[in-house]
Amino acid sequence: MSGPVRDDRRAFLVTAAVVMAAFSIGAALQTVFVFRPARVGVLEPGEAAADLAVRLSVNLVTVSLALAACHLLRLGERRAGRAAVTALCLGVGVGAIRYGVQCVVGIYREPTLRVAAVEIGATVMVVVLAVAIAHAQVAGRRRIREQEREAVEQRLRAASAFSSLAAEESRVRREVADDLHGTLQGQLVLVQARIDALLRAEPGEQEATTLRAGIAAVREELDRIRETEIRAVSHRLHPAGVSLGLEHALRLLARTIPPEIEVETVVAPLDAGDPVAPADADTIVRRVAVLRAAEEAVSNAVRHGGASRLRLELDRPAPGTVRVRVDDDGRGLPAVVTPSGIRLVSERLEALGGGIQLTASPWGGARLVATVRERGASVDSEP
Amino acid sequence: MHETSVVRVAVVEDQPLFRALLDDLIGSSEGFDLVASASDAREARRLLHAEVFDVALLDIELPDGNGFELGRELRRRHPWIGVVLLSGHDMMETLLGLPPAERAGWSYLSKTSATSREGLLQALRASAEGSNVLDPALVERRVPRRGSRLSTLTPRQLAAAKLVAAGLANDAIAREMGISAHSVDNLLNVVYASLGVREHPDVNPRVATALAVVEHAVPERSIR
Repeated sequence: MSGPVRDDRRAFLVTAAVVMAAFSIGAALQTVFVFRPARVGVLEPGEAAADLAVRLSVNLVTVSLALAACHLLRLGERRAGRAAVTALCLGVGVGAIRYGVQCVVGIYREPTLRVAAVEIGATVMVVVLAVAIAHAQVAGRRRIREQEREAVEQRLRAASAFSSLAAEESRVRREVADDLHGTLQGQLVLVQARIDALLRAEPGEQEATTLRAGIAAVREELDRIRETEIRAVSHRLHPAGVSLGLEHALRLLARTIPPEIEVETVVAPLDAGDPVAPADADTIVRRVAVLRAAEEAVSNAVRHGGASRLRLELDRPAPGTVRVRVDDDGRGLPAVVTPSGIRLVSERLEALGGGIQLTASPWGGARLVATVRERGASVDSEP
Repeated sequence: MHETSVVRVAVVEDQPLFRALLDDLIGSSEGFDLVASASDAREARRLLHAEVFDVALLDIELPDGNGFELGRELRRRHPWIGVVLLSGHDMMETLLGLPPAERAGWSYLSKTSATSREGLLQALRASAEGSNVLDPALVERRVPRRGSRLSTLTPRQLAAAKLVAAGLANDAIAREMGISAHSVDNLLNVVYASLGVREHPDVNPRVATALAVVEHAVPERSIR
């Protein structure tokens, strides 16, 4: 912290010094060579030089005094309002001292209130002006430092968010693999054992009906495994919540976005009471397609775009059509081709009567809009 | 509802072993009465059509349907009941699918938490009385999202909000946090103001706070 603060203090003092010195020198020169003081009747170069030297010294001593006071009072680090008031008071004080010195030194033989007011007033103006300019200078430097710090923090956040997403993905894959291996494996082993038992039976030892019964039981078991176990596992491979509805699925997707990133989720209620019955395969496929598009958009925004804000919106622009829109404030679309992940999803959505639009977001990053028809057309059927 | 009245519970759960566990926990608890136990949505409709009960304990993932929508269906038929949703995965966001005015009396428990008698009974009674209980273990893990109103709360205020979400009454919150009941009132008023929950006059601020925790806080990542 000491580095930039020290630099700021130095910048403040240097700026204030330059402004005040410029005024001091200019004022002295002007007074001696333009506004001839009454006491010098005929201007001699020698006398002018002496007069100039005296005036300059007084001014520069004043400037030093003012600078010392600024440094001690830390004017550069105060808020603008307080600094202005302090500078005003400082100006009056320094001005009064300067006028006093001017009288002592002989620039003014007789102190008068009017002249005092003018001199002090002038000093105040110079001091306030110098402090104002120096203050603005320092504030500008501070602003730039803040912006740089903000940019670095944002990059760090995006990097940590990416690693979180990656870890989450690998965790899900591992769980599914474990499931497949464990439960399913065990059950298939049991089925195999049953079949082995049937094979071991000597021909003729078992009645044909018993054999048939045994095979039928094995077939039933395989059917059950296919229905429940495989569906349960593949459900995990679906985006979560799809079986409950697109609104739930989108909210759960939003939830996977790390908390360091601002996310706004806008979900219009799609149905006044969805049916309790599970969605059919066609509906699931459509929901999954739209959701995958949203996942791609989110993943790109966080991983490659360095986004710090995301907005997910779900609505029904027309009856029978569902739309998901994802906006981010990241780096925006790559200048090259659309990312391959998006292309795959786009093709799938087009086959389902929808599509993807990739444009620039008003937030500065990318905007992805994915639409799909909720039901397939009754006449044609895609393979 | 008076504290000592008996809570009548209907259970809908497809996993037989787990349902047996729930039935047993409820049936053997004083102050609770197991009115019906169904293994899927169809059986639930059949059994509960004419039944009188105070709270339904529903698995979200049923073989022939969706426990959440079944809950809404039951609520339309019996508007005074509470609903406690169960799931093996953290599906608390499901509750956000309810319009704000309908959210009172809906609770959520993970299946793990439901195996604990105290947690289960607290959720059942609270929902029957129109309050919301969100699984404390799940709520505890949630971290406010940047930029949300929840992120403007101080750690103490957030802790209080999470206890409200877990269904604790103010005196219980006071005990839990080691402060006076008066302090809890003040703390919660600040929380309500920060979250803007009073902006909807027909929504109970406690319910709104609980759902705000679900909506604007995400489960903490644990990288195994």
